[in-house]
Amino acid sequence: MDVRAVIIKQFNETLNMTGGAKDIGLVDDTVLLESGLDSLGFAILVTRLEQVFGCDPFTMVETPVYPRTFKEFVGFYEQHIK
Amino acid sequence: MTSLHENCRLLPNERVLWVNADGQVDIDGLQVEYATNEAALKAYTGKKIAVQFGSDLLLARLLVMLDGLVAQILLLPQGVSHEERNSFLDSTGTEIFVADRPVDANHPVDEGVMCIYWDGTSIPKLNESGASRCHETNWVLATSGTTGTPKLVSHTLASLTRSVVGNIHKGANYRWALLYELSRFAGLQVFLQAFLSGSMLIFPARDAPLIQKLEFLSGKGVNSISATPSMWRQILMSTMVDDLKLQQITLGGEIADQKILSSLTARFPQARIVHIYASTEAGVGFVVKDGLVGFPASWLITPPDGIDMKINQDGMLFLRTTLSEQKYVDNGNKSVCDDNGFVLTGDLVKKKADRYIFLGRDSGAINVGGNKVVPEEVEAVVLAMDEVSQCHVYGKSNPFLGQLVVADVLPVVDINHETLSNNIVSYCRDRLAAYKVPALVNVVQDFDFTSTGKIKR
Repeated sequence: MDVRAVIIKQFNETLNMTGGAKDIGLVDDTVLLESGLDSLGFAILVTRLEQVFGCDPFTMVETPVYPRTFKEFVGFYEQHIK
Repeated sequence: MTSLHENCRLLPNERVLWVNADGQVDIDGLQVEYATNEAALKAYTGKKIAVQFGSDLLLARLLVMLDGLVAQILLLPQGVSHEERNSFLDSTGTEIFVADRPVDANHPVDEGVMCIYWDGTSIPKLNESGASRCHETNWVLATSGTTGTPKLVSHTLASLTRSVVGNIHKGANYRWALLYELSRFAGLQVFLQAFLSGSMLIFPARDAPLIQKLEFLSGKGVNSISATPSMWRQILMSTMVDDLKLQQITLGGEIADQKILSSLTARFPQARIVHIYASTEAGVGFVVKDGLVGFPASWLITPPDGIDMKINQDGMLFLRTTLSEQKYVDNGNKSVCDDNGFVLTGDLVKKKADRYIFLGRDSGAINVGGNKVVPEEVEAVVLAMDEVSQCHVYGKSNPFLGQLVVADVLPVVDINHETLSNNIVSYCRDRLAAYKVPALVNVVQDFDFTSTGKIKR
């Protein structure tokens, strides 16, 4: 499974769902907080990814993780999705 | 207040009161039963009784014999656990426990409580005598316990029948369905309305699926049904709905949204449709007869007879009835009301034009990053969609915002799940603040309802 591709698809769907800009063309260096998703949108994205992947890495780790860029976000998921 | 069996004298002997699969009971039958058992019944005078029956019709016969005679009747629903049952028996000081099936030997009642088993034949004789007389029977009911453990509330026949319209002449034309458990407040209301008006009450098999109940009811000529909005949505979706000829439709127990009211009006144009605001604690608050959701804002100033209402700045509804005798039994007989006689209903309302609409239970609120969302408010929006039959909104925990809003929906017909989800989200976005819009929509095949006919939260 191409975790990155799945995340991009869900990201854009969430943006669309929450009335944000469409298809902003995510790249590694995109700063999440400036991606068009607000905190609510981000929380929704994580919940949708949990549905798709069957788990939520953010609740799986002991110490809280705060990815800043898109690359870090994808990396975090790739690390925890089997 | 005349007791139930004394009320029999006001009705013609041949008036059929109760019908179930085994047969029917008329006024004459009840009076004969009372007379036959009168001697044995005397020993129960002034006693504190608890009843737990699998057969509602058997329970009905017993209630008519015991009201006005015993000091207290505790109505135990079927669903209480053994521990709860014993706790209730203890907190009410119950002396005699009457049931239509033997108590499970592995879970006995406490030693101080006498167990009587009544199968509908002669009332068992007691080896003691009763008090000389009883003033008035205390009726103790269990709330459905949506806010944690169920509580016990004590009523009198007067407080239970405050909004019953006992017109015996008109009553002959009504055939009511008992779709609620008789030992619950809602079931008792239907029972008392039918009884005091001399209307027929039809008892379908308690554990049968809804469709079977409707077949039985239709066969007996039902024309009046009281049910929760969730039950009505199921009724509208059933194949039996075309066979029902209804003159009276009553909704209660859950918020009656505009769609269910409009759907019922369209399906049964001849019927009188009302929705009732009531709780086991407050008794019946008020009845809304104009076919619209909520209630008129003018009622805060000129309320219907027998009640007063007020709303605090958080939108919480308080209700005061003229009787206000109700008490919580297992809380040191603490009154259900505050110092001014008002009951905290736990229900939130919101002003909309010249009406107040019900938002939902305060206790069920979802917290999305500090923003409170009342599930029923979102449900009302989703339910307005044509494609949706039932909707249950609840909170799902989220590592970033605490909780997010999730909706389970039952579609009216088979529909592409993704399309429906997207439609629901767009529809909600146009009508609700962003944090109230469901983050996830699950399209489901069936729904869970409580034993009282409400969505299981």
